[in-house]
Amino acid sequence: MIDPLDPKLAKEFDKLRSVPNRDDEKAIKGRAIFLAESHRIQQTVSNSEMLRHKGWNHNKSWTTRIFRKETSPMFTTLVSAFLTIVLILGGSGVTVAAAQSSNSDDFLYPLKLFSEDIRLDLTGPSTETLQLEMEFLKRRSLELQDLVSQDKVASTGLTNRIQNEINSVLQAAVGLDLVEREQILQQIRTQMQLQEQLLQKLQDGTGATNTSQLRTMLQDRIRLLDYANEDPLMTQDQLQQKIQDQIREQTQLKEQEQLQNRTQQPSDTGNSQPNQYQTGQPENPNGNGSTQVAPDLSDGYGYGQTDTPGWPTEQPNGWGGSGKNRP
Amino acid sequence: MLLLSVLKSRFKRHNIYEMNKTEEQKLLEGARDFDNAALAQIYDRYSPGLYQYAMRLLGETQISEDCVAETFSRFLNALQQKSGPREHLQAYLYRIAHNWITDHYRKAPIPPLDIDEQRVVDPGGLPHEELEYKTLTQDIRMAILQLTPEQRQVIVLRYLQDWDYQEIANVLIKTVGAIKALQHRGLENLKNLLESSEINIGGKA
Repeated sequence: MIDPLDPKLAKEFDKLRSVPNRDDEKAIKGRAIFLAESHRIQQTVSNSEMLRHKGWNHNKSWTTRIFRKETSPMFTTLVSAFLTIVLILGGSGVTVAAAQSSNSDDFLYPLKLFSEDIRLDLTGPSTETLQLEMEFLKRRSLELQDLVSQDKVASTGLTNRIQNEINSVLQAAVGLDLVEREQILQQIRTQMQLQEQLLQKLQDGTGATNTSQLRTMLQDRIRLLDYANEDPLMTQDQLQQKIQDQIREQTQLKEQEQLQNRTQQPSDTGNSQPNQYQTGQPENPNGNGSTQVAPDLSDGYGYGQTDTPGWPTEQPNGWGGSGKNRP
Repeated sequence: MLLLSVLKSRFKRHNIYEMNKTEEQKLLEGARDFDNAALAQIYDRYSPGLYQYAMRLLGETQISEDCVAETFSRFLNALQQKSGPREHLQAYLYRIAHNWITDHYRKAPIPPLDIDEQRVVDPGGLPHEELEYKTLTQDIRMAILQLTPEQRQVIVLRYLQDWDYQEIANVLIKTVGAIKALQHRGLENLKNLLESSEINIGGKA
């Protein structure tokens, strides 16, 4: 029902109502175009959008977007690489951490020493390196203490390690200023004395004599430090020279022993006479393996000892003795 | 007696509306599945009315055909994008056509309502019947085109296409009350525009 309209307006609207008839040809053509277009769309597009995987996941929740059933190859590769790195770094980190509490007879002990070497290599300034070496030296003391408490024999690896660490820390300490040097040398002496006592207990408890060479070395270093402490005239260079002499002497001693072992092996019946560093059995008849050549102190400084077993009281070069020969 | 006839008339119109709505919904479902029969039926059913609607506002057959073709093309694109109408297909198609016409006049602005000058313009090349229609309806068509788009749409659909308020409300997505208000203002403006044109014509004459 059309509302009543103004007559003038109704008259004008009547004009518009009588629209000319539509051209049938154009109407049919338009219809054909419309159906052809719909047919084209029907051919190219399936009925269901879900079947075309076009935007089908847009309505999914965030969980299905993240945790997809099909992950891309790159995603899988990245995840694998990430997990591998985590396992290597994290796993090795856990192992190294566990190795820090291992004792010298544990299978993780080499890893502990390796990690210590890495830390020393990564440490920059010499003062920090020295502190780290002192820390490791204390660790060796604790390890010896554990061996004593368990009545176990110290391994050759441990004794060699202690020798190297003492040599290294002494050489580093000598290079310090006077005040710092006195403090650090005192700490080194304390550790060496502790280790020497522990080695003595170890030798007494187990009867093993493989640590005698280390004990001798410790006693030599202790005497050297005592002498340097008592002699204010000894310069830094002189102390450094004496330490280097002792190290050189120790190296020569080892080389001689290795040479002797090699010359004795052909006459051995099998492996009945293993190396001294393997068994700790000294080849020297005096039982302490101190076949080393006496230190060559060209400067005439010499100090001796009378209570160290196996150490010649009178060195050919006058280094030994009771210390009375000191200038 | 009069009340009874009015009620019968309204009941009949309501039934036709509901029946058309049901049929339209079925056609729309077929169209969404790109059923050729449904699409052909939609074209046959709505294209004549759309052509008339366009012709009344545009006045030229070719442009009106373009309007109808573009309206159905946009409908297909909407179906392809799964964004077509869910209901009220007829209203949807007329909305597209109306927007197309509005765009058409936006590109080629409507000249000011100066009937005398408009009549001087040579339509040129148009068939006799179309030329006669265009000339005859020039005044009212130009006046309608001066209305706002919504007023124009309501006036044309209501008085030229004979739609009821609800159907028009579906096209404009407004309430019936809003449609009645638009109709009222549109008629007032149209009357004023036609009266002013008559004055101009009389003055010149």
